[in-house]
Amino acid sequence: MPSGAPTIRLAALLLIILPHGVSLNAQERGYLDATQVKIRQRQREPATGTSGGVFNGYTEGQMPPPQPLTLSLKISGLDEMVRGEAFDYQVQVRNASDRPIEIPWDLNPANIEPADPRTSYQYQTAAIWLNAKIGDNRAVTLEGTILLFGTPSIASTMVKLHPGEWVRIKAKGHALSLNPNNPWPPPDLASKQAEGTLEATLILYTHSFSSAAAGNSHEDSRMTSGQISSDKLTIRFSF
Amino acid sequence: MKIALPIVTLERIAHTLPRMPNKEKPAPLNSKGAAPRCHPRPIAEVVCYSSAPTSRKNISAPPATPVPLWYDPISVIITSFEDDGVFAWYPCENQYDDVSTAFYNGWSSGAPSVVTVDYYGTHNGVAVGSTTSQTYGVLQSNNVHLMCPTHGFTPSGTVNVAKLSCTPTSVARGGSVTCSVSGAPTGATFSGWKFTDSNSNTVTSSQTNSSWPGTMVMGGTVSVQVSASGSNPTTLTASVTVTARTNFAFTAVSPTLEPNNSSPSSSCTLSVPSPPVAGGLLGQTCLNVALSVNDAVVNDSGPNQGYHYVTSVSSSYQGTPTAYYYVISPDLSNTSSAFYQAQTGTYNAQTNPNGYISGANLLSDTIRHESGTLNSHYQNYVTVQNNPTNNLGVVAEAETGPPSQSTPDFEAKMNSDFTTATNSIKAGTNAEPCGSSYVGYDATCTFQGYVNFNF
Repeated sequence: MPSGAPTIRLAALLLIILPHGVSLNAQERGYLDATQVKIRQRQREPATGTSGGVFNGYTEGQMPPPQPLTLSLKISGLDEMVRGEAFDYQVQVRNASDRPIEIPWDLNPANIEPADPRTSYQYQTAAIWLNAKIGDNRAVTLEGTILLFGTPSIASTMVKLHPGEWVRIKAKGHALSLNPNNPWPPPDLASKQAEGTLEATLILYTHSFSSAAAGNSHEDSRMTSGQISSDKLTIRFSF
Repeated sequence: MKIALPIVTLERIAHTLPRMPNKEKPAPLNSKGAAPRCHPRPIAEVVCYSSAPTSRKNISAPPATPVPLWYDPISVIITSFEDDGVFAWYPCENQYDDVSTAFYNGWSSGAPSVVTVDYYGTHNGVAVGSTTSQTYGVLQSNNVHLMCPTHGFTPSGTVNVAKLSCTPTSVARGGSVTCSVSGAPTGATFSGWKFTDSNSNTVTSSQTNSSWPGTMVMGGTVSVQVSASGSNPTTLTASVTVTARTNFAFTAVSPTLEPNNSSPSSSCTLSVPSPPVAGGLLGQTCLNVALSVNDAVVNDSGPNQGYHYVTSVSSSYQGTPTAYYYVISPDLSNTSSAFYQAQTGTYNAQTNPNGYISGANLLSDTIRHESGTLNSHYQNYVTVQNNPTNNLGVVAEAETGPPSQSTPDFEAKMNSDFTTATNSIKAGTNAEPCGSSYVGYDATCTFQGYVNFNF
C-alpha cells in the first residue's frame, strides 16, 4: 500500500524524536503565564482575618535549615530597570527534597471557593514576591506579586512535584514599591542610577475560611513554610 | 398710586438664577403666586429684580436696622455666584422695600481671597472661609423712605463661603470622622461623595446627605458636589489625615539564659561544644520572631468602605512568643572546670600581648557578647527592633489595603513587609559586636587576651 510507507517513516521519526522531547521536559510539571490571565477573585471575601507565624529564627553560628523547595529568578534581556517600568520575570519552583511536594497551582482564587456561601473551607496559597535592594538600604518589595491558590479537594488547583521536578511561572512586575509606605528609590539615595539586586521570595500558607451570618466571615492564615529565597540578580536601577 | 410688594422675610431665601457679571440690568422678578408688581421708584429704575428675595417681612415697629442687606450672613459656594442687595425701611407701609440699585457700584469684599463682589452685589466664592462684604449708597432726600436730607448708608454683613470640612481633620487609624458641608444655601443638594487616597484609590457613595461619616484607616481627600437652586454643581473638597496608632510598637524582649543542648522553641536549638574546642562557640544566641495579626475590612459605607487594615497585633504566635535566647558554655560558667582554670589571665597588652585571658574576664565578656547591653548581639537586636521601620508592631499598624485588594493580596503584601522587617532584625542582630566573633573583648571593645583551649 502506498500509504503504509509514510506511516512507518513517521513512526520511525517519532521513535527518534520522542525520547529527546520527553527527556527535555520530563522534570517540568507545569508552566503558567500570569501575564495573560485576568484574575478572577472570590465572590466572598472575609470580613476579618488572622494571620501570622514564627519567622525564621536566627541562631548564631548555625546555617538556616535547608528548604524542601528552591526558587530561581530570571529576567530576560533586562540589565537596567527604570522606576515605574513594567517588566516580565520568570520564577522556577523546584522540589529539592527527597519526597513529593504538592503546591498550589491556580492563579484564580475563584476556583477554590465553594459555590455554597454557607460552606467553610480551607485552601493553600503560594506567595512569590520580588525584593529590590540597593546597597545597605532596606529591601523594597516591588509590584507584581504572584499568588497561587489551591486546595487538595480540587485536583486541578494543585500540582505535585516529585523530587527534582519543577514548575515555572511567568509574571509581570513593575519597578514601583508595592507598599506606598516603603519609598522606592530609598530616600537617602542621591544618585539617579545605582546598582542593586533583585531577589524572589516564596512562602507557603494555609487558610481557613469560616462562613458566618450577616457577613461576619473570618479567615485564619498561617505560614507553612519558611522563607525561600532565590539567588540575587544584579540589576542597575534608574530613577 | 403706590403698589405694595409681597411680604418677605429677611432671612435667607433661595435665589432663582445667579446674576451674571457685568450685565446691564437685572431681569424682572417673577414672584411666587402673583404677577410681578413692580413700580417706578423715586430713587432708581425698578425695585424688583430676578435675584431679589421674593417676599419681605412685615414688621409692626420701626426696625433697629433701617437699611439692612438682603442676607446677613450670606452663604456662597466656591466658584459659584450668590446675589445680595439692600432693603430700606418704608415707614408708610411699615415694611421694607428693595433699594439695591442705590447701592450698585458700592460693593466691596473684606477679603477678596475669600469672596469677590461685583458692581451689582453678586458674590463669587473664591476660597473657603468667612469674611464680610459691604456696600455704600445714597438714599436721596426725595426718597419716600426717608424724611431727612440725603444720607449715605454702609450696610455690611457676614459672608460665609460654603465649605466641606472633616471633623476631626486628623484621626488615629481606625477612628471615626464625619465630613460635612457647612454654609450651604438652603435647599442645596449633595451628590457624588468620593474619597481618594494618595494612590488614586477611590471610594464613592450615592448617599445625598450633607455629611458622610465613617471609620478612617487611610488618609486622603473627600469631595462632594453641591448644587444650589438648580445651579451647576460645585465640587467641595476636604482632606483627612490618618495617623498611626501609638500602642502597636513591640518592646524588645529580655534575654533568656537557656541550658546547653536545649530547644526552647521549635526554631531555636542552642548547642555549644562541651568541652570547648578551638574554633567552637563559647556562647550562642537564638532570636525567635513571632507575630500574630488581626485584620478587618471597613464596612460602614463611609469614606474608607472596603479598606483593609490591621486591628491588633501580638508578638507571639499560637503560644510561641518572640524571644531572645542565649546559652553560655557550661565549662565556662563552671569556675572549677579545667577549661575555666586554663584561662590564666597572663595577657598584658604591653608585656605579654600573646597571653591568655582570665577566666573571669572570658566569662563576663562572653555573657556580655551574647546578652549585655553594650556591644552585644542583644544590644544589636534591641537597636534594630526598636527602629520603627523594622518594628513589626509598627509595620503592622501601618498596613492598609485599598478596596480593590483581595484579602490574600493584602495579607501577601503584609507578609512581604514582615519578612523584610524580620530579615533586617535578623541581619542587625547577627552583626558581630566589636566587629569580631571572638568574645574576648570588654564592653569598650578592648582586647583582653586569647582563649586557652589546651587544658
